[in-house]
Amino acid sequence: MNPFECLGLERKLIFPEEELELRFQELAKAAHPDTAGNEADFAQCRAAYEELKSPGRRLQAAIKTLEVEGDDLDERGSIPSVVVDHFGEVAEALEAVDQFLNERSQARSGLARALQDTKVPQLKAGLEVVQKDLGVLEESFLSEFVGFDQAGWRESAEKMGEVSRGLAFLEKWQGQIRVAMGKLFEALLGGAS
Amino acid sequence: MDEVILGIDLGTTQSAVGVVDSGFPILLADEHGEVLTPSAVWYSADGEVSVGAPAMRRKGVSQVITSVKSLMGRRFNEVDGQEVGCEITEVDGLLSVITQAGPKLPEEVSSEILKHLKNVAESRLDRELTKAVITVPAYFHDAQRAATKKAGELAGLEVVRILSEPTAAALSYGLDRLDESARVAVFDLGGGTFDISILEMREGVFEVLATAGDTNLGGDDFDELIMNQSLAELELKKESLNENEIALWMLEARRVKQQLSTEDQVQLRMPFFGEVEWGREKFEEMMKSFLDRMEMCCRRAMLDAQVAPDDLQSVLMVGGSSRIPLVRTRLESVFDKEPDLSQHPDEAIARGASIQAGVLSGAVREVVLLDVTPLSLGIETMGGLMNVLIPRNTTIPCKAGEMFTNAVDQQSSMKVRALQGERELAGDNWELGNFQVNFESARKGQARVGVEFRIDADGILSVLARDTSTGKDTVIELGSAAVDVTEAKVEKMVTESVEYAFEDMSARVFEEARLKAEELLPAVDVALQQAGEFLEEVELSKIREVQKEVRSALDEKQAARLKFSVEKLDEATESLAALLLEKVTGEFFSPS
Repeated sequence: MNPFECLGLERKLIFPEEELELRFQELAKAAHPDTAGNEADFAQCRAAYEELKSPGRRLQAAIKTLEVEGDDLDERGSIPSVVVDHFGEVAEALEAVDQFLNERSQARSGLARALQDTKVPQLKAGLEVVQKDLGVLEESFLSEFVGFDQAGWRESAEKMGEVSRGLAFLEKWQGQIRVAMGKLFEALLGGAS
Repeated sequence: MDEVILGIDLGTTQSAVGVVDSGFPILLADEHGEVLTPSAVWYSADGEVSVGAPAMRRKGVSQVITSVKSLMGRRFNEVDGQEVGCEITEVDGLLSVITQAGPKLPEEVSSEILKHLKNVAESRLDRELTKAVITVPAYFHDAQRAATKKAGELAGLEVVRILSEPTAAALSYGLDRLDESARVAVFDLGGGTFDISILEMREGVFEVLATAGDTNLGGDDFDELIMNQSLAELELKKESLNENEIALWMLEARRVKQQLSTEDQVQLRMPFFGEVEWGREKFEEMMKSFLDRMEMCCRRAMLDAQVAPDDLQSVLMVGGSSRIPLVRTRLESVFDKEPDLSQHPDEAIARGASIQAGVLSGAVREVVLLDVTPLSLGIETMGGLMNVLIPRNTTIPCKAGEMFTNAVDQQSSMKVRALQGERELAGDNWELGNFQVNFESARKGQARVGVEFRIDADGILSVLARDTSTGKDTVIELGSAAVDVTEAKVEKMVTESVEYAFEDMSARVFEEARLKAEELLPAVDVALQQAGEFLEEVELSKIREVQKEVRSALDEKQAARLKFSVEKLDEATESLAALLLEKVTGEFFSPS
């Protein structure tokens, strides 16, 4: 069963996140081993939810269901050039955080560490800029899919493949930025020693 | 009649037991009408045991074990006996508490508390009870959860679920709000542990989105803070006190702490030792670093759950230390809303445990809990790194697989270390244990064994190996902690002796001190430029003076003097560093 069917959702890329969460919670309640369900049902329900959690993953799930139905789509392949254009920006911001953490870990005194820490707000702002840029880009991809119907999935298969790879990159980068952000404030609040 | 399952809050300082009655959780009182039992255990030399208030009354007179929860599932070399307030030892590689009846495992001591609660419940309900849900801090790792389960078994209880404390509190909060949907943060600051969990509640489904915490942060730390500072002010040394005296000091410190929540000025009074004045401000000043740690956990939980303060409808506060005004103020600033104090800070968790017990017995039907694993699970890879297989905050029960193959011809087995934690280096994480994967005889890369890691609804790990060629499954036993302790000890001995061997080599001392001096001297100048104006004149001249000492020791290449003065400079610039940091923290967390 594909994840859309599993959660009883229409095969769409754009729908309110709430709808997905609601369906998951309803099904999880029935499938959980603590209620009437069992571990296998629960695992299946959770896996379906994971597969649909972001637009990028939804698109991939949709493509996969197409493949099952006979079309062939390659998971590897070109990436939208607008996404490639952001690579430098992402790498730079992440690199700056890594470098900061590295230098900070080498400080021998509390004062030197505190001086290093004065760079944190700037690094945070840098990450936020990238985060915002990536968000705008994601929005622009998604706007193309508003009102996309079942027939449309098939027609623009090639483009969908490209966009899905692009979205996968965006999702990965957003994750890396969140991790970097977490490290920044762990350093700041937890790192007296 | 339906099966009855107990809900038990096995707390660091106090415990409680409850059941669901006609769909609602009630706590069961002992013969004195008390629902809260101090988590205190006393053993006589001939093995007589007393639990709760009667044991607590012996405190200061005889040896009473309290806060044993902080020892559960831990290893001897990780724990500072002084810190936990009881004497510990190692028996057969396992951490044990020294009692008047001989050494006892922490789970044995805990089981006495559970036995007591079981008795209370049985006499209240007038029937035999054999099953229980027991709560643990959300941030407890595998071994701590397993030890808690063991304690239950020793008390004659089948532990049908290990439940996270903040999740339990959320159940208690959400039970009469089942028709609402909301995202809430639950802040639980107990006697010994701190947790923060973010949950989504909708139509009876309680889904934990993220959890974070610190299993070594709680009210006990604040008592100790007050005790240590008071001792220092009276120019007394803790080492000169005996165990009973320390117990009395801790009790008095706790009284001061509790009273400071409602009064501005409290006097600590220790007969034969002296008096110390405590103002709320002085206490709050000293609490700052603890609050910073809490704030960090709160921020990380929000980041993991991908929510901002505005996305949360409510911030629920439970745990005894949630009564401290400054804790409330800090929480309010982190989450940008007034904390919800509707739940009884000491009873909410036991109520929640009872609700979950009701879910499992079938007495409560409209609720289901989707909890997460608090720590990432992984294995050590070549090069000593941690390879995450199940990331933290994954909904449980869950599983993940990993394929292992032989690296050389005819290799018969390999050893795998299972780890729990968030650090990149394997050695920095908690080692769950190790296991051996056995290969059929084959050419390099040909043998294949799939290993499945499964985390059950209790948050406890089991490992299963499947030989892909034969399709045979075997349950893998994790290597016992006892072995690890010895290994860790050897490792510690080796590193320490290396440090020792070099300690009196003055060339090395000089080199290290020089590096630190060369870092500090320019740092002081820069820092003074940035924040010098906020320093007191006395401090400023002190820094200048020590700076000079360092320079001259450096010029004259005097190792011991340089080491000494650099350390002095490090100390003298502490408040300067704090000033800088305060500025940065303010900027960092202000909304941009």
